[in-house]
Amino acid sequence: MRRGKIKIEAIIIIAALFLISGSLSYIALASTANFTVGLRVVWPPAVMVQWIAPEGRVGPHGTNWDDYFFLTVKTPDSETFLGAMPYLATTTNAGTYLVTTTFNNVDEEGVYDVYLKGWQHLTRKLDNVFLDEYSLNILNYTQEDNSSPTGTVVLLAGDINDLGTTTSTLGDDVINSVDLSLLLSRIDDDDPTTNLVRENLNQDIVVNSVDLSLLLKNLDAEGDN
Amino acid sequence: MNKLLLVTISVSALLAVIVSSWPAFAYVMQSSNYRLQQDSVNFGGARGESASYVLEDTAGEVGTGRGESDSYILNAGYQQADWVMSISVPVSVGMTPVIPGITGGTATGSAAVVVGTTNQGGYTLYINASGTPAMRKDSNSFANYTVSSTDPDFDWVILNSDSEFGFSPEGPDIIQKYMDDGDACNTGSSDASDKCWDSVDDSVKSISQTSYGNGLIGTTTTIKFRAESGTENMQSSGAYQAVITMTAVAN
Repeated sequence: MRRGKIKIEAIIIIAALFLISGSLSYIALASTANFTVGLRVVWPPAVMVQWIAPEGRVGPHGTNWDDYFFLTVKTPDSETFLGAMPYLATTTNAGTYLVTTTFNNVDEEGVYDVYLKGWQHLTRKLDNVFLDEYSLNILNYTQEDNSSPTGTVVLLAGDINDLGTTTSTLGDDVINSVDLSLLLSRIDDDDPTTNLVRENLNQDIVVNSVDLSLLLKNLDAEGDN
Repeated sequence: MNKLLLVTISVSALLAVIVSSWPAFAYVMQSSNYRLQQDSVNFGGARGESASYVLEDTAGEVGTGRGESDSYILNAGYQQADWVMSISVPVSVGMTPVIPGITGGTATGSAAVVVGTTNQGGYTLYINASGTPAMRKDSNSFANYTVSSTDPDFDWVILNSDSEFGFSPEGPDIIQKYMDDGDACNTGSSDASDKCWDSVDDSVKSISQTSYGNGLIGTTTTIKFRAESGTENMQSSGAYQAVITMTAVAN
């Protein structure tokens, strides 16, 4: 009899506890949302050229390497044009252009392809060059991998069509019959200062068979563009 | 009380605690057409309406009401939870203009954060970043804004050799800390534009608060962001980003 009474009391207490607990419902009391805040810092990396070696130049190594040129920067994978020098620059006889150069739209450090087009030469590309914003970036077109010492890579000679006075008239980046005709038309012409006649590829004092041989060797060659 | 009763009560109490502290789901029952958000099984309660008012009451619940401690607020009871809260933020904020890494510069941007609640106790809005420093790009960053005292800086000031990122909240609900008297912050009742700058980092800071429900349309708190690289600082180029979290909590 007493045990039955205790059971009833227990049931009542349990029921009361569940009634209480059942009323203690709650829902989330906070709402959260995220968003991003972004900004961009620009720091155009600067480059210099050291060195370029125009093909077939007469004279001791690195003494007759002056050339008109301009640089173009593209993305390494998609080869999307980013920026270019808007003017023709001139290297020294040693093949250097030690003037700090930056490009529009190349405003942060990274990996780029950097192209050089010469006055008488096909375009040459340096692949996957890391342009550092903190330091001056040296471009060495005499090495395949842009390493530091002077190498053996040359700019192929013979692209001499168009006026050759601006970045947009520096040839069509292919050596063909047009270039051959131009050179043949100047054959035997003197060039006393060695670098005023564009057809004088080896920059001696005359346009002759040596220049013709250079061009014929490269006939049908195309630039890295 | 004998041993059986003691054990029974203990187990029941444990069950009661477990059940009562289990997180509430978005609904308590459903059919193919409806979901019931919440319910209460008791002996009374109904919805009453007049031309001017609507009254919903529930009778018979035990232990209802509002309870507060330093850490928690408990709204116990079926009707207590009958309110909603919303928060909206932009997807992203793009600060302009770009900052020259060598010569330095300042970029700004703003985010409209709208909080609405029918909670009678109102809301408190908090801000924090996902990490510190907040504005980062790989291993580079803008430092969190350095305030010159415990209060926000009335004017934005950094050293020429530094780069920093901070914020200033504006709106009708901003807390006293971000109000000003035209000369200093945490004093007065003004809300001057582009004043009272503070850092945003991975710790939460309250920026807006009400003690009443402001309705579902809500109130806008505008978060002004500013980043500056000083003229003597060299800031690495690239895209920097901060992930900002806004949290609205019912009071």
